[in-house]
Amino acid sequence: MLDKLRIAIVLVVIGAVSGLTIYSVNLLTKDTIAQNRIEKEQSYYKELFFLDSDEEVTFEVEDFDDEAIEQEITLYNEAGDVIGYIYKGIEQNNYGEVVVLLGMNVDGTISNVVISSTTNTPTFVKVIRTVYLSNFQSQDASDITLDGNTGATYTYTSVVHIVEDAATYFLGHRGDQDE
Amino acid sequence: MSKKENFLKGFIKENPIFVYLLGMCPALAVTATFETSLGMGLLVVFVLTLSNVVVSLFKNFIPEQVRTPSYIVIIATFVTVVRMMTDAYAPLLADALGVFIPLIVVNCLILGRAESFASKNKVIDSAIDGFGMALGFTFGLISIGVVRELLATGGIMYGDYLPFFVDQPIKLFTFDWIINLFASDFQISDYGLAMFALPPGAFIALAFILAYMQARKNKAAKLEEEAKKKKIEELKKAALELKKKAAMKKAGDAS
Repeated sequence: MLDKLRIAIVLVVIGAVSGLTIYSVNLLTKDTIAQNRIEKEQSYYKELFFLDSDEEVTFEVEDFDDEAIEQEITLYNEAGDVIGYIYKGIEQNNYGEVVVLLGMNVDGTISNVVISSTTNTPTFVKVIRTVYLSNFQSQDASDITLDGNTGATYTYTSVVHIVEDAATYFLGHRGDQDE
Repeated sequence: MSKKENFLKGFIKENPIFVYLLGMCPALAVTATFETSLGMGLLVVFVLTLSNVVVSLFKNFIPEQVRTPSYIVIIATFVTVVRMMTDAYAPLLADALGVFIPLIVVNCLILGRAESFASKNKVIDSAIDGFGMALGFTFGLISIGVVRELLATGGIMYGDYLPFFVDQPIKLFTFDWIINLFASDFQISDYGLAMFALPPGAFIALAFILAYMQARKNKAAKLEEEAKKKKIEELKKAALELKKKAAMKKAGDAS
């Protein structure tokens, strides 16, 4: 009985010390990590609309709790005109999280799609980033056709789900804007 | 074993990658470039050294029945810490290594050293063992990374992922300047074997390095065997001389 109690105490102590260590490091690093993620995500905004790096842009962010997508970011140029809309979607698959940004032109065509961050297998993600994401460029939000040759990975499936959710949201809320 | 021997054994004699074939997952997956190899190596140095120290410190308090799970919790704690630190201070490296940072937890090398060394030895010796083995592991990763990057791109880059010492990426080495002595405007990267940046290239590069190390080992064993045979021959010769002399002496005495 005493032996079992001793084992239990040792395990609790190890767990508690580990938890405290992780908690302390998390306190130290969480702000920097969050800032890094925001900066990285914002660096994609110009890439989504093929803008020059020195071009001045501003943006407005709207967060959603009850939509399939997480955020809608409206991007403005220096004159205050809307360049386009960026939709951020997050999906969990068997290999972790995939965060996708989709740039939508005001006329309803997809400008570009990027994987902002992911914990999926880097080799597969690299192939999707370099080969398959360009398939979405210039497609109409109301008629997205998917190339049969896609790498057939969980990552690509998650990307497709997010692209479809973004297109559905755009058509539902801004689809008649250019008419 | 002296402290120096304890430290150096991980480099060649007991190299985790080339001798024990431990930690093959990162050795194949993150060695496409010198820099990712170095990054992964540094993370393993941190985790292995500290986990060995902690396991050795608490070896007498951890009950035999829960030894392995306790070690895994200790290792997982350090891996979580390095992951958060990498995310915060080297985000590009964190992106490049991806899931292979959390996978350090299941690296056989780390649990293996905790079980076979740190749980039986003093703290200082365990720290030296962990540091030496981790540096040996890093040496293994870098060897594969350098071979792969050289063959794939014809040069070695630094500064793409690790934010230390340089503001922007620099070429540590390239064949260009040697070849440009004979031909102008030559870009070795145009002739790189892209396959070596991909997974099959990892297997082929590792195979070449293992074959080279095995050939060196065989040659050393052969030389040792020859030296041994030569010594036996010399001893036999010396014994025969002694016998001859004794017989001559005997014959002289008799006459």
